[in-house]
Amino acid sequence: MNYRYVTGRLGQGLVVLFGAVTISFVLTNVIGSPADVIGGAFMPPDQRQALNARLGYDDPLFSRFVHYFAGIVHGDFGISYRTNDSAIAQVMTALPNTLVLVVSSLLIALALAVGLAVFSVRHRESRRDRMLRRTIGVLQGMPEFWLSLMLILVFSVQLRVLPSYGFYSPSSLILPAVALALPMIPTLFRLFRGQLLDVMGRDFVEAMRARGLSERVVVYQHGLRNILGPAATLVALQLGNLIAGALITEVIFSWPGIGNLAFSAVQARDFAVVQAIIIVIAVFYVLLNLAADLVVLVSDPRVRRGS
Amino acid sequence: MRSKKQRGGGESTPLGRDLSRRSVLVWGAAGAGVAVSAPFLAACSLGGNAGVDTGASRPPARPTGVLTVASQEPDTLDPTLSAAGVGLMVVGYNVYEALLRFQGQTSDVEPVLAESFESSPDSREWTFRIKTGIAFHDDTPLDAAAVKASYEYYRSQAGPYKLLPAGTKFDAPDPQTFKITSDTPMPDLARSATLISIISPKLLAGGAQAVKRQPTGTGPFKFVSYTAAEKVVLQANEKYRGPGPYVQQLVFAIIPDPSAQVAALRAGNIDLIHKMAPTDAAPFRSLQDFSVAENPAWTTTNVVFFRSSGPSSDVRIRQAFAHAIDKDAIIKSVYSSTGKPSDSFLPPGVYGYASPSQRYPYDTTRAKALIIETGLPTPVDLEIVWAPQLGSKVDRLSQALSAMAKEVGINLKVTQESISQISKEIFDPNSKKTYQCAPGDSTWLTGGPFFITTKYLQNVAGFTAIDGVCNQILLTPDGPDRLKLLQQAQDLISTQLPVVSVYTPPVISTYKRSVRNFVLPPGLAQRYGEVYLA
Repeated sequence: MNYRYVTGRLGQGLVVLFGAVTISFVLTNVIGSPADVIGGAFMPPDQRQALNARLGYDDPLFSRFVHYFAGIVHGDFGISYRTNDSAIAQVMTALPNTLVLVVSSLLIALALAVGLAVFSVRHRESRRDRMLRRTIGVLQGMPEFWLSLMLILVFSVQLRVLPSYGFYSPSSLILPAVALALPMIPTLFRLFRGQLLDVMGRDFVEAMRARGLSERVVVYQHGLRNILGPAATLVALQLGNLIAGALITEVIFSWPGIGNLAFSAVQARDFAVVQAIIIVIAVFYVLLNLAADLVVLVSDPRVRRGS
Repeated sequence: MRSKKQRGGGESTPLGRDLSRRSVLVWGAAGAGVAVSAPFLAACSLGGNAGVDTGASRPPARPTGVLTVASQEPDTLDPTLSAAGVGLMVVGYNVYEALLRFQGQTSDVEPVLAESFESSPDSREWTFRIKTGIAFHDDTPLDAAAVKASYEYYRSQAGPYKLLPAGTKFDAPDPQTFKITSDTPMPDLARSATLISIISPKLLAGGAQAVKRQPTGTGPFKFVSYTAAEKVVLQANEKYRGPGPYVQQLVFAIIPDPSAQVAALRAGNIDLIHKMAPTDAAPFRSLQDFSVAENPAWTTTNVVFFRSSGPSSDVRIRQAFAHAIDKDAIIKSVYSSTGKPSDSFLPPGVYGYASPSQRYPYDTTRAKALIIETGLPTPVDLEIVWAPQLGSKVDRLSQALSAMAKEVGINLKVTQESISQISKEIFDPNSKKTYQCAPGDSTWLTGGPFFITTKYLQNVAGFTAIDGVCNQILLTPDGPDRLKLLQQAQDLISTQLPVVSVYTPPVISTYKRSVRNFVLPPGLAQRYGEVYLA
């Protein structure tokens, strides 16, 4: 077992986390204090100072950082000045909602991308295939926020069949999940289509056709099986991007996830919550990368032996 | 020729139709589709109200239904700290009550938790008789000691507004008498008292943390929960003395994006949007299912000159700038033709508002003449600074002012800075920065001239010439003499122009027609205790 590989990856992960904690603290604290939001530009300095002191923002930046880092090590991510609740508790309340949204959208995108890729490969270079690829190209150009608003306009406002905000019922998930899934489809479609075409051109596939297997069996049972491995690794890494990138969708749909929480926390200068969110996302990235590295370790004997 | 049966067409049915494999498959698929989608559609929650029509014109006998109001994220649920007003709008008059409140849509006050109130002739002592038989949501009885605890808490917090002068003393000589005394006269105390929420003393004993977590007052609604970025839920206080509440639950749905709020209202997912942008409200005016309520807000949009050196220190430059502003054009281009031009630092409706004797109609000829009088070389260089946190409208206003100023020979450069940086430059006498003025809104929370007590013009604009008349206003209780002094103050402001008033925005609320008895106050806090659903 290549322990050096494992410890090396763990060490890298810790360095990344330390960097995330430091950079997030510095960046959030240099943009101002909550007193700016509460008092505005015309608040006299003595009042502003008293308010900062009350909210714990009157100490120098470095001593606040040391205090904050010591707290992180003990699991204390600070308190939200708005609600007086633990910042990490707020993030952990919102995180499952983001995961539900992200996983749902990923499943929708995968199902559609795989289905369309298979269709495209089976009918390659036909008129239908060309039209499909052009349509998917158009989809790639549509901004996420525009798609979200259009879906709300059609399904909530005009047809009144789906809710436009919040997470109050299973049907609330449909529009935001579709809005998040649609922009992913072009990339996944091209990936699956390319890999499938590559697989379909191999000798073993020709051998299956020669044995009399139908095209449908060749594609679904053999072609797809061969591309799902690499696709799974890529999709797992995409998950990290999605968690961070769902912010726009969450804000438009008022989805109670960490994106929406981050948006309101940034506006209110609720730094403890902003930092907690950044750290949670960083932890996710690190864990997902670590998982991918461990998959490589397990599957590649060369890495396992350390050669 | 084969029979229908031999062709596989099936036999005749009692309906007189032949059953074929194809028709069975088609109808079976249709039926399955209906069966599968029925629970799905039934699970669809359109939110809002499925309220029963109770006869519309009268409130229900018992609280019924859920009123869902779109809201921004509350800045805090502590009423002493809520400056952006969202927190105050949520809990201010719904969970909490004050001793007094504004009467309807005026700046006159009426008792709420106080039975009566009076002040000494010099306004240094105020006495409130507290109503009996009222309890907080945690069953703590309301008395003068509880009121005193709330006022002491208010003073102990470094909140954004100084509604009480320094050195104010509170006393509760008996359970029904609450006294406030000060060495400084407090002629505006009654209006300020409308913003001081009376908090349960049991909650106050838990400290500021408890106040933020579990607001507990005497209001028509009890606090249930607050989930950040999701919603605030209030429940009807069944023991409320009335009138109301008439809805069982009041939900503030946190929808930060204004377009999403509009979509949610159009879709029927929410019932009301308070403080809607004029452009968003426009389409609702022609829709039969919605009502749009509009009132002038107690807010003026001004440009304040805070630099005591440079070209803007000459009053004629400031007057020229005022004459250069085409307020009607600004209202049309920046504010979507809503609201009114403003000629006074105080907005109409606020106590003491008076139309000033000196006004500045749009007159580029007069503006140019004033600049020539100063003898300064043209173009005169000025710089206006704005903060992105104030919103894009402030940027558009600044750009519009710059374009108009250019026409009269003022080169008004538009600069962007953070709020904290602007604040530093305003209050730092040794500032090296070159900007002289900043646009911003002044909201008259107390419905009165609280700029007198906060010394806003002196602190921000360095306008000490107003000290004399302000000190007299402070010593004079409400009445004809005070109104005369306030007229003098506004005349002084309008001749010396430490601030140039541009605009009075409207406050607009849009709601479903099923929402009844909704009254739109000009102040900050919105009451839903008497609202009911048809």
